[in-house]
Amino acid sequence: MRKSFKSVSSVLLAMVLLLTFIAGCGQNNAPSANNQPSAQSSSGQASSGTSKDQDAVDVSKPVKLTMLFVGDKVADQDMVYAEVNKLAQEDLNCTVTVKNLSWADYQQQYPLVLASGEQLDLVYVGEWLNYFDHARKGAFHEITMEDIEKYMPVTYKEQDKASFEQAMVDGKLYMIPNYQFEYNVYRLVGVRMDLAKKYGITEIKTIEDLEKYCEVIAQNEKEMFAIAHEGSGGNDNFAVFFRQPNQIHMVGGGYTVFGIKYVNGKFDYENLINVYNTPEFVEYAKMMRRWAQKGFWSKNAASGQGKINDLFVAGKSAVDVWHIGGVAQDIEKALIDHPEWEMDIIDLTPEAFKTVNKFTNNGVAVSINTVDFGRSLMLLEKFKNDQRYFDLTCVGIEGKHYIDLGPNKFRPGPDANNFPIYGTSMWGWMSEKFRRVSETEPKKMREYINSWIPNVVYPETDNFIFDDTNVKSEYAAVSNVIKTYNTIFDLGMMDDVEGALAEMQDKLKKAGFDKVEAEFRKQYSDFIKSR
Amino acid sequence: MKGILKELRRKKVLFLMLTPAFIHVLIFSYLPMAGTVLAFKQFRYNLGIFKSPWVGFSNFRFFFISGDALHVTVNTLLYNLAFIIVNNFLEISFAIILSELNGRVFKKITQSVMFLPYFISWVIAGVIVYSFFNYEFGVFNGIMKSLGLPPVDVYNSANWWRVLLVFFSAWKNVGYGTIIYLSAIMGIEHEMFDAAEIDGANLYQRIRHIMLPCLVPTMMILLLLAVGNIFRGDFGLFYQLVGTNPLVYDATDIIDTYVFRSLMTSSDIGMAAAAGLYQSVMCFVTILVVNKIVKSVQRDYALF
Amino acid sequence: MMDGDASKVRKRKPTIDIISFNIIGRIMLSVFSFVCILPFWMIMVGSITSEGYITAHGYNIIPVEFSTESFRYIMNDATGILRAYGVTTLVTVTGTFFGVFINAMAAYVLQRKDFKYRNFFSFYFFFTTLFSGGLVPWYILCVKYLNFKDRIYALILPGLVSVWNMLIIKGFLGGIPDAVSESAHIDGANDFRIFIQIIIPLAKPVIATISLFTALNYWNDWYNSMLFINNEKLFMLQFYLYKLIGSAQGLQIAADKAGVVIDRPPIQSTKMAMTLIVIGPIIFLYPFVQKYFVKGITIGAIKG
Repeated sequence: MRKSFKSVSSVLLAMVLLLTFIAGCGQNNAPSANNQPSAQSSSGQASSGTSKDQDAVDVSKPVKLTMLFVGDKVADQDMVYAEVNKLAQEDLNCTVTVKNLSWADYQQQYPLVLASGEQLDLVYVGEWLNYFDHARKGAFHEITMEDIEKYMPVTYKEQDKASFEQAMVDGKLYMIPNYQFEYNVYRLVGVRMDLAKKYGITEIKTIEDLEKYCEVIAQNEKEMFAIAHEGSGGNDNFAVFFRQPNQIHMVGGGYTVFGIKYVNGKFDYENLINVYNTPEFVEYAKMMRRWAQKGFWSKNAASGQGKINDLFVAGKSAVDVWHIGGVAQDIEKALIDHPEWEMDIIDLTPEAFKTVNKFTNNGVAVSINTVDFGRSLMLLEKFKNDQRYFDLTCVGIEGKHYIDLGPNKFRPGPDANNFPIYGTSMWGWMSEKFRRVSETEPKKMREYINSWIPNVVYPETDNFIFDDTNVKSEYAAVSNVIKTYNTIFDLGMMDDVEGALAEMQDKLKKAGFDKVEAEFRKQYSDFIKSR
Repeated sequence: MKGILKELRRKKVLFLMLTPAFIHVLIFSYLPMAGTVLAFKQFRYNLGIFKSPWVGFSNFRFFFISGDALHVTVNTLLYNLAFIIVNNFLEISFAIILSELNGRVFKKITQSVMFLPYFISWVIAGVIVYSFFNYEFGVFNGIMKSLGLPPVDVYNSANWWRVLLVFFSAWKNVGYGTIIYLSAIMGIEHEMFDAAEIDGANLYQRIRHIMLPCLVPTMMILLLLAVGNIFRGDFGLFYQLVGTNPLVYDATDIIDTYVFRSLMTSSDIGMAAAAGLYQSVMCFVTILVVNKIVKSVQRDYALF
Repeated sequence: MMDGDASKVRKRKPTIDIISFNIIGRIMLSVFSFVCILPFWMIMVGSITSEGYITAHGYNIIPVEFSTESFRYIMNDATGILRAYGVTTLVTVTGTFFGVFINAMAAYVLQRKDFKYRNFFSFYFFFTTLFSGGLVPWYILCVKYLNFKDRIYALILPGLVSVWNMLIIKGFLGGIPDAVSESAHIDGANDFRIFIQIIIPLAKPVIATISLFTALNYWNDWYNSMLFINNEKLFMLQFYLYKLIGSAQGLQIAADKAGVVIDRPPIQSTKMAMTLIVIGPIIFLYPFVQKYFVKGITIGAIKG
């Protein structure tokens, strides 16, 4: 018997999709220098001088709000939100119920819940959750700057307007982005130096050094892979071995082929290039092929369902590839079981530019089906700017889930597993102001980030998201092709690299790439002109 | 109209007996069917299904634009045909064997065991299969190496997959399907069988001349039901087992997986609905034709 | 002619046809059973293997690095799981009883040759297996108009009617001679009484089969729980366990994001253990149900 029309995605399909998500999100970092954790008055009121007081907003009507989370409900979620509701009832005469979407099927459920017309007020959104697409299709309530000024005065004052610009769709805003500074677009490698020493390699500084190391591993260590990529892990190759060494920044979001170069200390905005047409890409693809043939990763890497990070911790990969937080974490985990291993975090391209994550990675929107727009925003304001709400929703109940060690610090509490710190979807209102850093955080991570902060660059193209409305069909077909060939090049699956590139160009043409490119370039040049 | 009222009065009880199922299907299948219009609309969340603007056939374009549509459609069709033939052959064979074999305990055990794969989700099966067949560390190549044979790269081989996909479809479904044929055999009159035995027919002749003909009606129903789904693939089987391996897409890509990959970036409800409608229309046309053919040969076997 | 009483155990002379049949039959069954049980065995082994070993080496045939962490992790929440068992049992029993009844009743009507509109209604039902509005309209109907949120009937109602099952029953009932119904008519019975008192007993094999399929469908269902239920006291078993895994994965994600090194829950082995827990009751109950399907296992003809 068959459920013919049920979900196309299987349960636990999330593993694959999850990897994509995790690759795009990341670790927290040390709060930047000019942060002031401030005690908030219970109404979150800015000082006098603003014409629209939040106190003036009428909260006499009790309201029950619903909040949509992506991610399964954790054990103590109800307990924590009962506490939140106590505060919210007092402060805002409202309560909130959380609706969780399972990691197993969120990709299909998320648009479904939005489409169903059921009551939703606050919705966790992010670029990776197709925020821009849903916003264009009218899923969210518009938020004007006046709305923010009225209902979220502290945010209005403190959050950089640039973050809102990133989230705009055709000049209108539909979400409140988070306000954290994550540095996890950049990829580094973690390396087993004990193995390096074993084979007489003393230092690994460049990609060439890494290749020599991996060769030695591949030839001599038969129980492990040099770089045990599996599934979509090949994405990281694209970052570490192509984008970063060649100082290329991708533009437009989604499965884009366009990027700009960073030359002589600035971005070359005028020259939008198709990265697959560059000689650097051919070199990269050939290198990946060489590495695949040398056996750095499994022949069947594309089909595997594991993660290189788990394999690294388990001793099946000599090299780990991820963002600074991920790599630092993996090393810590590995050292717990194997203190005899020596590990090092290596930035193979130290001169490459470092960027901050887009603020639109995480945020909160208000659904078009909200029962109270103003109250929803006010509650969000509490989450963002009232330390009591922030701590509850992000870290849990003091004494139970975490131990308060002072501002911006904590230690995991006895029941930490029941409400994992920064567990689910509260990334939507994360900010540096109140973020608590665990005392168990790897030290190396902070060192790296602190060294980057002074030199971080802000590509303006992060505000540009391609609108596929006019070329919807072609874009879907083109994305399919790009996704397919990405895997082939990133994991070095085909011998004739130039032939594969030609094949890809051919298929792209058939899929209507010319139309997509024309539309993309047009939108891009409009964007550049309007800067 | 008059005719149906007359029949209604005469066969009142029959109509009443039909009513619960009729209403259920009306509510849960026909009402939502109105949503098929989504395939022709640009869905907007703030306008809902019925107020969203019409866009004609443009939601279908993404599927046909690359020129792969025919290929994946043919793949879907061929695999389903293979599944139908192989699975039914095995199911009928096992049903006959289970009904005529000596050895109660053996039969009981094997019949239960055959049923187990039905409970294993494709996600889990995919993980197990990878452990078994992956090139460097899989169990299969471990055995090959210990026999002194060269290891086989199963995952990257289109030919292996053509066989494995049919194999695993049988693995999952045959235990379940065998039961249907078994209960059909239960319904065959014993007297016929015994009479034939007395008349000197051996076992194979009894099977061929009595059992098989009695199974034909069941076979026809299952066949027609399967044909009604012949352009829809078992997504889990093709996605979880094969993984996203572009080198074998030519051999393993079906409509469902192709559409899934195309729509991953844009969760466009209209385009997904269009793909589903395409499959439905293809199935509809096919079953109309096949049912008509069956009807002309033997009226009773037709589905409608 | 010999008396067709199958309660007489027939002694068969070991003729060549029977011997060869037994040999071929046993080989085929054994091979297929082996193939079916091998992955299941690997799942069992996986459920008692340590998580670290699975991550590093995948799934094996022979248990290495024994560990019960997966079961301990699941049993942490024993009350929740027991409650889920309870909900699932309730839903399964109710759904199967009413579902099979409604389907069989409709099937009987559809195969009555004197029912003039049977082809029309057969097509009415069959059409719904071809076309569907898709998930979005169905979901909107259930959630917005039928008030399915967090209600137990949301788990029972959708699965009550299955056209596939209905048409299979219809096919089997077609094998019952019309004379049976007709003579009962003459005796004054109405159609419903005929259905209950005569047809159902005659159709025991197919009723048993379809009941089994319906019950399994309900037992394994996780989809309706996922769509409609937010209250974990109402989760069906399969979904409850998926949530367990899901929150374990969520723990991992969260920990990675927050820079906290926590005790990692054994996800891989738990997935294996989960499969076993869901299958568990079925394996215990199945031998009792089996006798309806395999001839020769029961003494005494079902067909009266």
